[in-house]
Amino acid sequence: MSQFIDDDRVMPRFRVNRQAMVDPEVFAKERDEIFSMVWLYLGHETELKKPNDFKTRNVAGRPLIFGRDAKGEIQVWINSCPHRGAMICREPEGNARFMTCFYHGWSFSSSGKLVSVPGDTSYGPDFERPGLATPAKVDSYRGFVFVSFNPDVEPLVDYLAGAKEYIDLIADQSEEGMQILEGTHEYSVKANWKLLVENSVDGYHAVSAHQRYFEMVMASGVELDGAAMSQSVGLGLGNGHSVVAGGPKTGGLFGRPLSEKGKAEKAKRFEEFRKKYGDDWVDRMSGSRNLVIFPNLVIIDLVMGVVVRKIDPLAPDYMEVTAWELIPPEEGDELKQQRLDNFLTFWGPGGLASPDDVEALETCQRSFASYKELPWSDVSRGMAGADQPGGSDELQMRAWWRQWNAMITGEVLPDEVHNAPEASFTASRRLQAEQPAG
Amino acid sequence: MSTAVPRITPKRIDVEVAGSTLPVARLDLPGVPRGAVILLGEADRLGDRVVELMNGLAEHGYESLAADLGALGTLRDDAAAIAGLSALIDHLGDARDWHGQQIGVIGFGYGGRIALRAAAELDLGAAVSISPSDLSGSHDGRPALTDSARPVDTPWLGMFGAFDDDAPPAAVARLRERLTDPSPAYTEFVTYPGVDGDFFHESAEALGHAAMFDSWQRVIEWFNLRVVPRPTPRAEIWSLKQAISHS
Repeated sequence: MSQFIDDDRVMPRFRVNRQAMVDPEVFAKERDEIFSMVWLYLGHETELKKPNDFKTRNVAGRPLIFGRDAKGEIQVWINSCPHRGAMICREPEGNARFMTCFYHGWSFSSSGKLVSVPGDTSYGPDFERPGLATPAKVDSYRGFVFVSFNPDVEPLVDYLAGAKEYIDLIADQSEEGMQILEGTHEYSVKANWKLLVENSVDGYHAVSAHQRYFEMVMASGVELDGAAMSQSVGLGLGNGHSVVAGGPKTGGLFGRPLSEKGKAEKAKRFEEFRKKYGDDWVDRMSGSRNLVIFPNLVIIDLVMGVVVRKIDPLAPDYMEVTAWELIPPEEGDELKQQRLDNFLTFWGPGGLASPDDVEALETCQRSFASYKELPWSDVSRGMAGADQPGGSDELQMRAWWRQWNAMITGEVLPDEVHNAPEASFTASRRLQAEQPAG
Repeated sequence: MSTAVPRITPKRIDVEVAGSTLPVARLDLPGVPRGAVILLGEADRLGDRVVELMNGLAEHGYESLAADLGALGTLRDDAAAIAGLSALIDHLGDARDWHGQQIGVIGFGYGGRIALRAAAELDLGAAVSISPSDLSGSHDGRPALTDSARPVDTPWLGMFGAFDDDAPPAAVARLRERLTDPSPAYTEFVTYPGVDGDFFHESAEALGHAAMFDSWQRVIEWFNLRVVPRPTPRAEIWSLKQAISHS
C-alpha cells in the first residue's frame, strides 16, 4: 500500500492521506511526475479569432504564448527570450505579428522566427539565430488545445480515452462550433489544487454546501425534480479522467426558468440534433456532465451553461483558477442570457455557489495542519454496491486518485468492478446517414 | 516625440501618377531601417507638422514618404487617390527596395479615409486612420465610410475625437460593426474624450495633449507590432543557410 492511498477492497474503504495536500515534496513530485509528463489544457481555439491574436498563459509553471501566426495557424511558444530569458510578451492578450523582447530588443514573429537582432554584426556570420522554443507537443481535440512537455507522451486522442466521448457530447451542441465567450473568471483559493478537482466532480456536497443557490433557484419558480437529480452515475474514463453523468432530465435542472419562447427554441435545437445524431445520443446530450480530464481540466456542462475550468497549482496550499464559458453561438438572446446568468450566479467567484466551495476547501486546507493527528480523508462512498455508483457517490474521485497514485508512487491499483451502467449512459452517436429512414 | 537627435529635412521629389505630378516629401535613413511608412495628410490640416511626424517615425527606424493625395485632381476622388498610393508604394520599391508588408500607411482626414480603403485593397503591413473623413455623410460622390468601408486584410487602427462633429459616436459604432467581425485582419478603434478631430496636434489643454501623445504612441506601437522588418545582411545569410539546409 502506498503511503498516500488506502484502497481496501475488503471492507471496502478508500482513503487519501492528507499529507498529499500539504507536503512540498509531494508538490514537487507532482510537477515532475504528472505535470511534466501528461497532456495539459492550454486554451480553446475560439479564444483566438484573428491571425496574430495571442493570449499568455501559465501551464505547469511555464509561461506560454498561445496564439495564431500570420496564416492563422495555432502556435504555442515558451514565453522566454532565447537570448537571456526575459519574457517576450508581458501582456495577457493582444494582437501582434512581431514581439520584441524589451530587455535587449530581439524581435520574433508570431511563427516563432527571430527576425531582428539589434547590432547583429557583433555576432559571427555563422551565429545560430535561435527562434522561440515550444512545448514538446501541441495538439487539439474539437477546439480544446493541449500541450505536453513530454516528447514521448502518447497521442492526445489516446490520452483522452473515454473523456473524448464526453467532449463530443458538448461539442455537438453547436452546428457552428462551440465558442468561448469573451471574458474569464479568475480567482485563487488557499487550498491544495486536488481539493478543487475532487470538488468539481463531487455530487454529494451539492445540497448541503449550496443550499443558498438552490433556494434562490426555487424562489425564481423552478421546481427541482428530485427523481431526475438522482439519475446520475459516476464513471472512470481511463487515464484518471472521470465524470458524473446525469440522465436526460438533468440538463438545465438548476437554471432559472425559461419563457415559453425560450423553451421552444431550445426544444427545436434539440429536435434538429435528434435528426442529426439519433435519439440515444441526444438523450445523453440532454443530461448534465461534470467531467475532469486528468490532471487539472474540468468541464461542467449543465446543458444551459458550460464552464471550462483550468486549475493551476502554485504551492501545496495555493491554487489559481481560470474559468471560461463555452457557448453555442447560434442560440438566441434568452438562452444566452440563461447561460450568462448561470455563469455569474453559480460559477462566478462572487456568485452564490463558488464561494461556498472556496470556503469549504480553505477550511479543509487549514485543518490539514493536523494531518499527523488525523491523517486520512475518506472517499469510499458508493464503493460497496454491485451497481454502478451514482453521481453522489465517489467512484469518479477514486478513479482520479488511483491515476495520481500510480504516477506519484508507481503503485497501480485495479479499477473497481461494478455492474455496467444503463445503456442510456453509454449510447453512441449515430450520424444522419446511419439512421433508419423515416 | 521630442527628440535629442538632429532633425532631418525630407527631400522634395515628384512622383508621376496617371499623367499627373504629385509632390512628395521623402525621408531616407542610413543603415538597415526598420521599415517604411507612407504618410497621407491634408496639406492645409497637417502643415509643417508633417516633417515633425516623419522625424518621429525616423526615431523608431522608419523611412517615410508624405503626400496629400487629395491634391490629385480638383475633387477628391478615391480611385485616383488609391492609384496615387499605389504609385507611392511602387516608388518606395524602386527607390528604396521596400515592398508590401514592409510598408505601413498612416492617414489623416482624407488620407485616413484612403488608409482604410488601402487596408482593404492593398497588401500592406499595417494601416492607421486618424479622423478619417466622410465617415457618416456622402460628399462629392464619395459614399460614407459607414456604408462603404470593406472588411480589411491589413490590420487597421482607427482613432477618433469624441467632439469631432464629423465622427459622431453612432457613426464610429457603425463602422466598428462593419469592420470588426467581418474583417479577416485585426482592427482596433480608439476614441479620445474631450477633443475634436485635430487631436494629433499639440495642445495646451490636458485632454488635447494626452490625445496627441497617446495617439502617436499607438501609431508607433501599431507599426512595430505588424510591419515586417527588413532583414539585416547577417539575417539574410542565416535565412539562406536555413533554406539550403532544409532543401
